Amino acid sequence: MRVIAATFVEAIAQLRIHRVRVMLSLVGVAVAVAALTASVAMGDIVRQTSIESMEESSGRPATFGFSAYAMQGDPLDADALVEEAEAIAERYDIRYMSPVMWLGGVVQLGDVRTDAQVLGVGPDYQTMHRIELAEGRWFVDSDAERLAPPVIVNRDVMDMLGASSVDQHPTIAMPDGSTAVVVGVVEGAMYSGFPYLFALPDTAAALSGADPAYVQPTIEMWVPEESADAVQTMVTRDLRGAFPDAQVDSYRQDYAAYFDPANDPTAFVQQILLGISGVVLLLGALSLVNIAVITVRHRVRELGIRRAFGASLSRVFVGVMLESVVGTVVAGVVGIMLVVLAYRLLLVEQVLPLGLPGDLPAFPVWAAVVGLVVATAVGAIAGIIPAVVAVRSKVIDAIRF
Amino acid sequence: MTLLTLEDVTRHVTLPDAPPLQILRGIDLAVDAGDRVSIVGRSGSGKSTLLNILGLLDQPTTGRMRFDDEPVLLMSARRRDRLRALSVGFVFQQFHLIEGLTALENVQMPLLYGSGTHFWRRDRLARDMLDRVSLGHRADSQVTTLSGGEQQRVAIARALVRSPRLILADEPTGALDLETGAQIMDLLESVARDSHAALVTITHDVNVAARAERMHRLDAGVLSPAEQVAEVAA
Repeated sequence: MRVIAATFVEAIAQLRIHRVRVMLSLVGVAVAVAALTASVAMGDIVRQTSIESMEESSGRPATFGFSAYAMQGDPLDADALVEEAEAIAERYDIRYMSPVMWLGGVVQLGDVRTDAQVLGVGPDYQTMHRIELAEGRWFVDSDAERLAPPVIVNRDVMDMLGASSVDQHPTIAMPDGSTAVVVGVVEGAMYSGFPYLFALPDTAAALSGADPAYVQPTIEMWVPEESADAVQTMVTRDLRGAFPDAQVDSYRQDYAAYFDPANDPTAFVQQILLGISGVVLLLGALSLVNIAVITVRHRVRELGIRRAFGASLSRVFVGVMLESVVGTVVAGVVGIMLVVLAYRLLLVEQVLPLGLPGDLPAFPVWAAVVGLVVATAVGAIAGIIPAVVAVRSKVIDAIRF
Repeated sequence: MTLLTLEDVTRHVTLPDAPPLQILRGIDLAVDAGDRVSIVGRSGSGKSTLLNILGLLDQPTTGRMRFDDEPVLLMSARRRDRLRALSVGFVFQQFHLIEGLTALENVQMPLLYGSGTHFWRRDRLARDMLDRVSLGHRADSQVTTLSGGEQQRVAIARALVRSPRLILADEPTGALDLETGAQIMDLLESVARDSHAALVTITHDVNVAARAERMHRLDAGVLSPAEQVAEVAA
């Protein structure tokens, strides 16, 4: 403990004495670590953002879609399908399930009559698809009993309604004469640029003007990945048992079923950036070694004095190497801080075509850890050569004059 | 109690295309705890080589040397470093302070290589030592801003801060004027006496040599005892 602390004290004192030289020699390392951290972070953020975007559209792993269509005769009773699906979910302890209906229609929004996308979903849909709300609330089970059915809309719909907040209790006139109340506003790139309205299935059908008898929901279930295949088999079997005359299909729809990280389109860009960072790091390390060797040669007398007062060869070796490590770690921290600062200033938003569904994601901690580990490793490797030069200097010659 | 003994010690170096250069020949010397020994010699007589051997920085080519009754030639380099760190303090002619550090940090430097107690208490020990050499008020000054006499006092404080049992002073007054040199020797002897350390002074100044209890003359690598100042000067 004492030796480690004493070696650090010595290394920090030396860095202080040679601070100008150290700062100049570490600029390259700081820039390289910043570039490395930024490219690792960028790749991670783009990947994370892509995943969140995909989860928003197709559900979290593992999400299955189950559909049932009457092969002949009258359409399948949508309510019966939903009720059966709820019973199956309870039977197999599936915690998240939602009917989903994508319905196009013309809706009256204030004075504007416009095409809109109406989604009929259940309360669990928000969790299953990571829907972020800008304000207000999502659906709850008791909403099915409300006389004024709730709807959740995007900002485009709010603008058409002339409302700036759900606190103004904006309403939408339904084709059947009733009135729906806006209780929440979704945010994100996926639900922008076109009027989107979320409603419970019955309300959605009414809102879009579709004939309920011909509206067939898909049943989505979010299940643990480890039991995904077994659950898919059992639910499909049970639905076929309940509706023997229907065509029952099931498919896994979340991104994990088709997204191969090896074919990540951002990986190529990230690899190029990592390559550039590596070259900059190498040049920075060479510059560091160069200056460190020259400095050690000028420090022969001082090292000789330390040897005269009891510093062992191993202590001199570790001390000189540690100076390099402490220097590069400090440079690395500075580089990482610059990247985090740039990120916090949202510069990244103008650089990366993220299409962020919500707030800017948190800066990935592991990118900073990678930067710090690389900085430490570069310091240790670059410190070996000057350390060898230091222990080879002859103490007697050093203190003679 | 004998601290250090040299018996028939020689030191030579091999030169390319030339016979070996004999620097020290048949050196016999014993230094007891609390001794005051001076060694006088002209330039090139082997003084610095002898000092390096006494301070465990260099090894004899032949002969026997014991430190604390332990044979030095059988010690590992690590053991010699450790012994030097715990028992030996150097005072150099050119002070050899580390530029860029303050007086306090220079005095603390040997404590980085000593015992744990020394390391953790280095600030207090170094300040006390600077007080003893009357430089407490310059503790935080850069050593390059100090006068020659002040720098040598810092060097003395650095040599003595670990309370070594052997102080090796190589031309301690060589870079100072007469008056300052005398003050420095007073201080060195006083502090050495207070800490019961043996003081070996290597010098070419007979007046400095005469202050020791025992005087030796080093001539062409041969060490011989001298009873009188005149003998030393001869």
